[in-house]
Amino acid sequence: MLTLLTAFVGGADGERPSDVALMQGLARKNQGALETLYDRYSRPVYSLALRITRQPAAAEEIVQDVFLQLWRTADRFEVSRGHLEPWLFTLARNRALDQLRMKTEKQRRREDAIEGMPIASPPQNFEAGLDARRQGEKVRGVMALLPELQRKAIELAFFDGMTHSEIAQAMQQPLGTVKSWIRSGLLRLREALEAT
Amino acid sequence: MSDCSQLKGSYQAYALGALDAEERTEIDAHLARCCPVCTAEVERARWVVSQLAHLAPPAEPPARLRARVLQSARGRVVPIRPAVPVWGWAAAVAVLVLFAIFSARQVGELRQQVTQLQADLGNERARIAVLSQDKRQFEKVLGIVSGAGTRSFVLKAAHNEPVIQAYWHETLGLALAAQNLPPIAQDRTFQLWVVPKKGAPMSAGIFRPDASGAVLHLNTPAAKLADASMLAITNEPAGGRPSPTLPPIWAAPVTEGK
Repeated sequence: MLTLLTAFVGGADGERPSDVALMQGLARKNQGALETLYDRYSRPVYSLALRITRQPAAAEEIVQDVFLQLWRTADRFEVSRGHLEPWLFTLARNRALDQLRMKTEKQRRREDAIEGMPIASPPQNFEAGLDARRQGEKVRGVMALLPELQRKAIELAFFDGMTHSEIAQAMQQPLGTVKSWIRSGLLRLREALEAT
Repeated sequence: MSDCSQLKGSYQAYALGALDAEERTEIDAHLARCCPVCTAEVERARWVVSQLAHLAPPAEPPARLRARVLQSARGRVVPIRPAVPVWGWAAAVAVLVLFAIFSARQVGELRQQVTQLQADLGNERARIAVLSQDKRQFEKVLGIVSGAGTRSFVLKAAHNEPVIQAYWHETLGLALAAQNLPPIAQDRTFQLWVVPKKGAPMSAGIFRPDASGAVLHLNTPAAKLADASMLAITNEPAGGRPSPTLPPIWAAPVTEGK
């Protein structure tokens, strides 16, 4: 049954179906495609939402919201331009930070328009899913090498949605130092992720 | 007006959402002009930022969530529209005719009622937002207080002020709770400090008691619990200070063990 299902959604010879094939299935309202995508990405999406909100109930709502958004907009997703995982992470992070800040509907609609922008594809040698674990290890490895305060600043920005000024105040550090930490830290991460 | 070379150092922070309002507005305006260079670089930066999600500690979603998501998707599948019978179209035309002859004065009254309802709805939403924020704050405090590995401290004052209870969880944060605290001048604030074993005291936020003297303060200290030697609270000018300006009013040692 599973073999038939994966063949239907575009996987060849029982291989793991690509995100592109699954999104095409989703656009045709194929429930099996949604199940496969959920099984593939629910754990990292939930982990991210839980880390930001620190509330399991809120994290569950965000996961549901993200996958329903995926279901609703599958036919508009630019699979040729962006991979799915970064889009899911970005949407989940935005929704989680929305919860923290209780944003108005107007502000959310503005950011939904930004979320409609395609997220750049990863480097040519990256294959979604197959390299996800290695990607995660690489990210954690790069961040672990950063000085503690620099890592803390980036985490405050990413997981707590803080701006430069807010981070500088929270960490009692000069604003220029915080800006430099974040810029250089993310550039190091980009270099590591783009290296073959 | 900035050009690409001036903005390129800010792409990462922009994608992260870390830019302050003025800088963010500048890049928004530049991207709105569809600069191909900056648009591509921001897309690239957004991808890099998205990968920070891998830093989140792995957590397993509950099994029930899968069923909820799939059921919700089934419920949202758009049904095939049923064919509209002829009488249905006639009824629709009749409604349109009636609406057309509806008096202008009645329409005006309805508009006023809608405006009032919108204002009431806005007020209710604001009230719900405040209540939701309080609820989230209490839930966070509950999480810290009941968390495994949470350490508790009692900050005592030299004089007759009530004690202040502190609960510190390494990852969830620090919660401070007290009642019947003395009032504080309008231009002053209480400030919590984490005194490390080595180095200067580090601020863990400012707070003021409410009208009843109650305090519930949440913070994610920059200092680590393992490196702390003392928690202390001073009375500082409004807005707090980078370092204490007066001796502490309340203090508690951070000792080894629970």
